[in-house]
Amino acid sequence: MRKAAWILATLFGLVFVGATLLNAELVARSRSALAAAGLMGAPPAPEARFHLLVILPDSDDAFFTHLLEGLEAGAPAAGAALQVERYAASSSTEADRWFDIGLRAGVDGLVMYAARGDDVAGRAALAQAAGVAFVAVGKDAPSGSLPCFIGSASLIQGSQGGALIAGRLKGGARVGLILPSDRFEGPGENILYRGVAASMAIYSGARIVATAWSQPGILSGEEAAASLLRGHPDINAIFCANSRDTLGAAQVLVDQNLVGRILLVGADETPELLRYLEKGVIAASVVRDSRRIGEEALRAFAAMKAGRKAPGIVEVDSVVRLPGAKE
Amino acid sequence: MRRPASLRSRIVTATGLMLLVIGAATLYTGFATAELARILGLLFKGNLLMEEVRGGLAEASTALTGYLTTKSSDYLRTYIQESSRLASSAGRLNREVRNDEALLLQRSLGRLIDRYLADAEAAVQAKRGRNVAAYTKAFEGSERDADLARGLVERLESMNLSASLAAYAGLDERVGAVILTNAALVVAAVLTAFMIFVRWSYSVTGPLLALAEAAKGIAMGDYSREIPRMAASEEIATTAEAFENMRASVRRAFEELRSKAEVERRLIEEELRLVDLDRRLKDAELLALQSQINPHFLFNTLAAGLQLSLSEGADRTADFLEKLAGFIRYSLRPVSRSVSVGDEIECVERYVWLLRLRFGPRYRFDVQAEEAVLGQGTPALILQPLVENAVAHGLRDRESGGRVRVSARLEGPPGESATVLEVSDNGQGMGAAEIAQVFAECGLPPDGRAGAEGPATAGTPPSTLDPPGGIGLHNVIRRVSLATMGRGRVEIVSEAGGGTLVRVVLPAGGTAA
Repeated sequence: MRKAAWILATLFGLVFVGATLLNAELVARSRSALAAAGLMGAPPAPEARFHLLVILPDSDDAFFTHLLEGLEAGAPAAGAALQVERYAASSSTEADRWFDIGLRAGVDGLVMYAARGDDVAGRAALAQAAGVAFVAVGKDAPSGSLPCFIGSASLIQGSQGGALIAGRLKGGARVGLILPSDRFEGPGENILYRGVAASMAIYSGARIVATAWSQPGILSGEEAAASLLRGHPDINAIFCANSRDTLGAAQVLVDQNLVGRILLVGADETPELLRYLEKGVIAASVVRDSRRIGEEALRAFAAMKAGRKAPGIVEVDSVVRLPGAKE
Repeated sequence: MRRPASLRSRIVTATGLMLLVIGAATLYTGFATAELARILGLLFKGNLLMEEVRGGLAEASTALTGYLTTKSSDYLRTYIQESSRLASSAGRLNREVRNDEALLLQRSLGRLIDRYLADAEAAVQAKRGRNVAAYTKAFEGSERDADLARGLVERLESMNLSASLAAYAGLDERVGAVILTNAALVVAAVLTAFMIFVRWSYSVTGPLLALAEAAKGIAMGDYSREIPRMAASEEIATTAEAFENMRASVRRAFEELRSKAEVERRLIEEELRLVDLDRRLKDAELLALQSQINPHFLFNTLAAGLQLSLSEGADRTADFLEKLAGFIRYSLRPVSRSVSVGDEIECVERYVWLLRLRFGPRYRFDVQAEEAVLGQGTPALILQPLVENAVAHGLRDRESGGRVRVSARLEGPPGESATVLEVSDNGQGMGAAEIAQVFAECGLPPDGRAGAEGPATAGTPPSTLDPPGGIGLHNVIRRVSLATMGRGRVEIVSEAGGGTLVRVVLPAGGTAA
């Protein structure tokens, strides 16, 4: 009986210690999880001078990824804390809603993507009226008077890509273009298209055979490339306007064993895209420096908050990335 | 020796231990549950705040709309209450500019609600001022603010839920293990407490049961079982000690009583023996008186017969009467006296003369004695009974040729020589069992050798008051043993049909009067 009592007392002690350790571990884990979720115990986030609302389309385009990286990189210098809101690329209403929230909530600044067709000037005016610093970012400067726009020039991107293709294929270049579906424009109205066309004009015989429009979605570029090749077997070069479509087209070339027969020139850079570039599937990529756009946007915001004059329209150069070339 | 703890302190200790074990487990699980509840509260704290804000917005908007459409004071009162509540909720939202998306969203929401409340207040004031355009514009503004705020609330709720789920996902798998362990803890605590209780109850009831067993034994009269020392508790140890003392006392008392009873029994037996001896003494006295009367009469009669035979010239009859009278005179003297072997031989010769007269040539008698032995001492009437036995028993069935031989001699070195008296016959003899019975009747082993204390200590002592003619073999054996203090012995050498030799060995100087 005494032995059994000792065994049970020992068992109780072990279970007690075990339970204590388990509970302690659970408490530590829960505190850690709650802290990670910002629900308790986490050190307060660093304070900033300005509340900056960033409104961007919810796109998997590397342009926006790098743009956000640039914004985040420039935020500390500008003394800004970023509230980043994404909206569906096809819905301008949602973008307007966030814009309205920004104005009514009285944020210190707004950085907003300016898609083609947006009334960017009107937004700028409303923001100015509300005392909110407004910086538009995008690919091409919208029409109208703007106090501040930071972007790349699709015309230059197109002409750099077109020149690259024409330089390789000379007059025999028969180019298929894959452009993101944009509102209110046909191929002729697309600035990038115009850039490609303009750069190829100096080579007699070089021409844009067809243009395909990619919809939002990761498989859209692949569909567009397949459609191009199916409808125009004579195409010997494809130029894509963004990284997503470039990867889709590269996939099609690999699947259809067309690597080396069709010259693929893409846009921007992602780790996967660079891998295709190194393998020779992609001949070159015209990289829009959206990270720098972000940094410049924050710099412009800081200048405006400092009471200095807004920089107006700033276009950041694109660079051509070739296989084997280091950044 | 350490004194055991008292029963009360044992009860208090055992109960305390049980309460400690169960209390520890209960407290522990209580703390664990409280911590879990706190964690769950934290998980949903943000959502609870958002729910407050959403409810406040809805109630305030409804009241505001009601007031603006009806100008009812009830709606106004409700609006004031709800807007105050909403302002209070909004006051708990973050207002600082911090590098955290959720905090910035809260800041935006808080400022939107501030703006909503401002627009709503403006609408109420304009309504009171009957400024339709102003309150319409302000109301539209408040509606827009509320709409945007609701969007932010949804966004924050979504973020909070994601964060809560992410936090909870890390806990979920551990919660199961902790619940199981806590359950095991409770079970272990209950078992341990139970074992403590059982152990304690055994430690208390065990000694009591032992005491009860001992009491039962004593009730049955078994005082030999010692009650062990109890270390269970002070009270039980004291009770056991007292009980043991009582048992020992009772046992001692019983032993004393038993001892007294034994002494009394012995006294009664001794008294009875004395009474018997007294009776026998009286009988002996009577017999002695009777013996004193008869011999006088017998001697007078024999003397008269002798005178008569002499006067009538019957010499042979006179010899007969003279020898008979001499033999009777010798026989009637006390048998406990010591006589010389010569006297004993003379007595035997007289007896043999009478037997010859009686049996004639039918039996032949031969008496031989060394000269040296005649002066040695011997108990009286040793040989005559042996001769009488030889004739009466040994030669009883023999019609002729019967022979009885009596001899006396010394054996052993001079100074230490023993007197050996022998009576032998050629009669029917005795079996070994018969010989053993003779010795057994005398309280001697079959070889007839007595111990140092003599045969008086064993067997029933034969009567010393038997008449001379009735002194038997066992009487001889007995008297030899008594007279020599156990150093003399009687040996019987015989076999069925082979005659009997009875040898009396008397150590030198071994007889006493």
